[in-house]
Amino acid sequence: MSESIGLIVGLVLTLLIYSYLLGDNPLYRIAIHLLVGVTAAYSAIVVFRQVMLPIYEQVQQDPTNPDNFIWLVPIFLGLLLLLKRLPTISWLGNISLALLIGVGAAISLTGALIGTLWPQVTAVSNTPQLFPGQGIVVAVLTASTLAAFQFSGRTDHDGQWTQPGWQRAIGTVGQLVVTMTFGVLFATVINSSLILLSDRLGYVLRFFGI
Amino acid sequence: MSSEKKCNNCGFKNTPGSKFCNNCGNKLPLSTHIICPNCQTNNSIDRIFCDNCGTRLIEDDPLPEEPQQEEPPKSSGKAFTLPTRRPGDTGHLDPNILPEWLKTGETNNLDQPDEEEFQELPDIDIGNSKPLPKLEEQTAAKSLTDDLPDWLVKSNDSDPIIAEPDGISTELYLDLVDQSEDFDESSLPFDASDANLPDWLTGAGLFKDDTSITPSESDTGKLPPISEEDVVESESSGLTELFSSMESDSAIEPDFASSESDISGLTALFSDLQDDESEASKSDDEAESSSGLTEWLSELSQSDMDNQDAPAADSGTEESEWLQDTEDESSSEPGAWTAWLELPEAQSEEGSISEIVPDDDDLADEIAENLAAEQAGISADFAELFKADDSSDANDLPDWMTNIEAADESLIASDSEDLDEDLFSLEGNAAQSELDWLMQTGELSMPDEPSGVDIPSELDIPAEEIEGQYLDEAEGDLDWLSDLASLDTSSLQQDDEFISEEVAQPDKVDKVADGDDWQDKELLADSSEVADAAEQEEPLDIELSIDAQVSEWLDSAPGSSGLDETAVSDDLDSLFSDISDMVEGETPTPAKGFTDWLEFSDELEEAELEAQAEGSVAADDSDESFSEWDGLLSELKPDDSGQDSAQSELPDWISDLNLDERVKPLELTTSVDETALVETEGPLAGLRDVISVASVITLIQDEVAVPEFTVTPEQRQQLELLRQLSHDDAKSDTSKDDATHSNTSLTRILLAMLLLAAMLVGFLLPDLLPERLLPEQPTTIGALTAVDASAGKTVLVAFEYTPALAGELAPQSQLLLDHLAQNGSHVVAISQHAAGVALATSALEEHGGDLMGYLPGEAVGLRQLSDCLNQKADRCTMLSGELGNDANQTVLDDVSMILVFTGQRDSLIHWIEQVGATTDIPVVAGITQALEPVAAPYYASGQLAGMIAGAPATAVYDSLTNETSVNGTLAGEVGNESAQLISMQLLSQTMGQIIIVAVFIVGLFIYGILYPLVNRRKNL
Repeated sequence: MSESIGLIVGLVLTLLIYSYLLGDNPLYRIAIHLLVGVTAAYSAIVVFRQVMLPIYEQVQQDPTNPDNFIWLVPIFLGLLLLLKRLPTISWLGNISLALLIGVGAAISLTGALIGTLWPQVTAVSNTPQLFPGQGIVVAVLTASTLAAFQFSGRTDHDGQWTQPGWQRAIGTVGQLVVTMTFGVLFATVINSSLILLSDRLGYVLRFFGI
Repeated sequence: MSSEKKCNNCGFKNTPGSKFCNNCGNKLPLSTHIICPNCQTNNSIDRIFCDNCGTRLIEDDPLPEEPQQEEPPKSSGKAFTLPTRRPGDTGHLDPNILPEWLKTGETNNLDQPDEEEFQELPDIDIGNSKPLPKLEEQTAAKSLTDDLPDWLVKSNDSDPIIAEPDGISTELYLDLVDQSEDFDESSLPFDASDANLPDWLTGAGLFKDDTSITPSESDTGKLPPISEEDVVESESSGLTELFSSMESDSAIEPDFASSESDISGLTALFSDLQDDESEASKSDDEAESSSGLTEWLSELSQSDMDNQDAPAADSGTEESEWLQDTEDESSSEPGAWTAWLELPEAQSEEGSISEIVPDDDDLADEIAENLAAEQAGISADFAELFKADDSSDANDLPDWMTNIEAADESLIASDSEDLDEDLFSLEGNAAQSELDWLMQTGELSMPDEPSGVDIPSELDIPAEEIEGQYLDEAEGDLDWLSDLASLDTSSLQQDDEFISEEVAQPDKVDKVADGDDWQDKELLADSSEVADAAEQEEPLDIELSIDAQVSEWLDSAPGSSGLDETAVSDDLDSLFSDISDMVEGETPTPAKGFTDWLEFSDELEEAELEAQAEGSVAADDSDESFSEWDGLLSELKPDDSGQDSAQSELPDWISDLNLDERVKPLELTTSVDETALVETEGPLAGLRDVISVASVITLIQDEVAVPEFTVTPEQRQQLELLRQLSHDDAKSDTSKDDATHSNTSLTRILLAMLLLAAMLVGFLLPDLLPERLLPEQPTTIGALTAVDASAGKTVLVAFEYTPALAGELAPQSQLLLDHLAQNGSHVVAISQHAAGVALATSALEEHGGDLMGYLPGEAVGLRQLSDCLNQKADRCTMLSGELGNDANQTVLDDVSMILVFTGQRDSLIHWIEQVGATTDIPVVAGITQALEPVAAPYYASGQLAGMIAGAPATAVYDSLTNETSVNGTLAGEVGNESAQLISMQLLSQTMGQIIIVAVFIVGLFIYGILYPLVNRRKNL
């Protein structure tokens, strides 16, 4: 029974979402609001149960343990974040935000360097060549892509903004590369969407026993 | 500002303080500096105290008031000169600088002055003041004839009015008066009304004389004896009456009690100098006596008075006196003509100046009658001098008297319009000159002149030249008035304090303007009117030519031979200047420039008085700053009470100078109407030279050439892209009609239905498509290899997706978990998404495994997790919650492979960068098809051991693991639910892709081919 209710609710919500084909409507909004609300509530419960409650239990078991005092720091920073709601002392919350953003940026930058940039640079020569001069082609296409976003130029005697011919040529190649990339991404997105749609269609068909 | 004075004639630069050019002798324009009397330092005109020594430069004594008549004589100097003086107010007369002929009354020895006679001049005892120095000490070097007009002394005419006398005596002038009374006016060849008396003569009638100076006969020696009674009766005696009257209001006059002298003429002069208002009560009963030249002048004035309106009853007594004197021609006493001089003050006090203004018509008539009968030509010319028409009474009034009338109509009964007309007429303009009356007298010699337009032929100069000479003439005109003005100033100054005579008249006018006085307005108005008249009436303006030109024909006038006109003019200047100095007190001071009286207005004077009363004015030795003076000025308010006097003090000829336009290019380049520059509103109120905001705003700005702007195709494309990104097109679509909107919605619905139908076909008609084999991609093979390599080991599975992507990733996760389970791997689930925890829980329930839980912190959390992996558990101290328990720590130490299911780029990148890059644990990514382009490079670089991207890769992986066909139909055959679901999804996806491609092609055909064709046909 509960499974059937779940299937019905799932079907109704699916239809509500697809009602967007008729345009923005309250049914669609209801489905969106339910999704957001349930997700937020579920996230809160998960965080509380799997993060805060274990920590509380740990501290409660041995409150005098000096190792537990370390939790005062995140608690204090968390309280400072709550002060962001008070305009007069909201600046205190900036301390926590600064810590979060600073640490996050540092971690991300470090990871980007050691996890993406350097491995990708070294991989050009290490990976097997699909065709001769692959590296040169990759370099040229990369440079042309960067040149496509170069808008600097000079004004000619007529006062018209213009770019050198070579720069426009490289920029044109870069625009083609970007266009192809966007086309591929868009196609993959469409494919993913079609899979999701088919999943929903299969769900509906299964619901009706087809 | 340079203090050098440049001569307008020769351009020679003279030393500061020079009145005349050191090179050519031309009269220099008055400067704008005040020379300190103590240290001779040039001070700015607006200084009160000397910048160098602190000596006060400007008189600060209060205005003498009427009740001060009984006060003892004191040197209450007013800072202002003639204009600020009330009728009858006189200054200190310095007998030392009186002209010789006024002192002695004799002209016998004019050409050859006898020093011994001069030495015999007595010391005049002026009341309580110390005895005056001997006159000859001051005037011995002068010629006696210098003080006479040229036309009187020098005349080449065969029958002059006054033959060049052997000596000028009282009898001479009495005879002249007698002749003038008998003169037939009708015989005059010109309009007697044009005989404009000099202003100072006419204006002298305004003054009152209550005092008398009676030097002893032995002192003068040369004056005819005069009885004591006569002396007492002659309150106003001759010309001196003028100055005594001018001093009558002030309390400066010493007590000239020694009226026992029986002299006339000069005696009367000095007695008049002592005219004090304390004796005003006695004036009504006193008879008039006069002799010498003053008597002659008095007769002229009496004649003028005859034609005046009936005097007021209050002044009837005095008027009757001079009327009697007029009638009694034989008496010819010195006080006869001067009586009218004293009358004006009294009458002005009664509020009727018109009654006291002497009317010289009768006198002129008499002169005309007399001379016309006996003499012709030049004699009549002289009579013309004193002839005046009844209607032009005001013409003979000094301009500053007419201002009195303008200020208080009750004072003057004559028509002010006549005054104005006369002012702007030829005669009026000519009267501006100190030699106006001389000029007009000389005009009598011009037989061609039809009427009162007395224009000498030699003066017929172009109007442009006149305009250029206007200022020069004006300066020349100012000579006698300046000296007369200095009379006032000196009378109001302290002994050792005076205002430099170098103060330029224009600056004085500006100074008056500083006080926001009505005088300024009137002055400027008058000046502008005169300027207009000067421009429009070119012939009339000829009379405004310079004195030098006047002197030419004057020299030719009868009786003018032998005397230099300029000398006479200078003598007159010096006369009044010296008299003023004499009036001032014991200490002779240099002759004051006429501009002294212009230097300060009544308001300034009152301000000083107020400042003194408040103690704000420091002592003479204090160093008073200029700001203090400005402060006084700022506090000044136009005083209506003083308007009459102040107005009367501004002669129209000053206005006629049109200083704001004519003088400015010369010396007053910086003298502008400062009142117009003073900000009156806003925070800058009181500051000068404030540029008006309105004027700045209203300035016409020059058009700035805007370069031509051309939009390149690239820019258009970029703009179009920005519009699309900002949904500008969508906003513009809102303006479309409902039909278009409904068509769009209908099209969208139709496309959606078409897509759904196609995908349903994939589910409902699985055999519609032929069986096909998907290619085995390396990424999928790598994933299979990694999974197989982790068999029996711990595999960390990250569920980094939400239920929204579960339709695509859920088959992958189920397939891989089955494969892991088949390989005996220990699955430990973790997620950084709360929803992923739920999905992980659901997946683990079906396929077995442990849930580590939620990992917060995204990249940071993954970095912490990476520290716990790969046998680095000793450093794994920061994992919190359930991840931090000991069991999880042990599991993390044994992780051999990481399997990440995600549909988000950041999640994939974070896992690769933070965990995969920092550990040696292989990472396999089960991702959506959309994320395949992102993950492909990482697989290419070896950072990903394998990759399963989307449903196709899942189907391939399934076929590899289960050795089944990828065809969906096969899934049903093998009974693998997951494989069947994946097969049906692939068929449905394929149908959907076909429909999309078809719609895309149709769309391109319609909008790319048909639409342009249709539009082209329409255009054709």
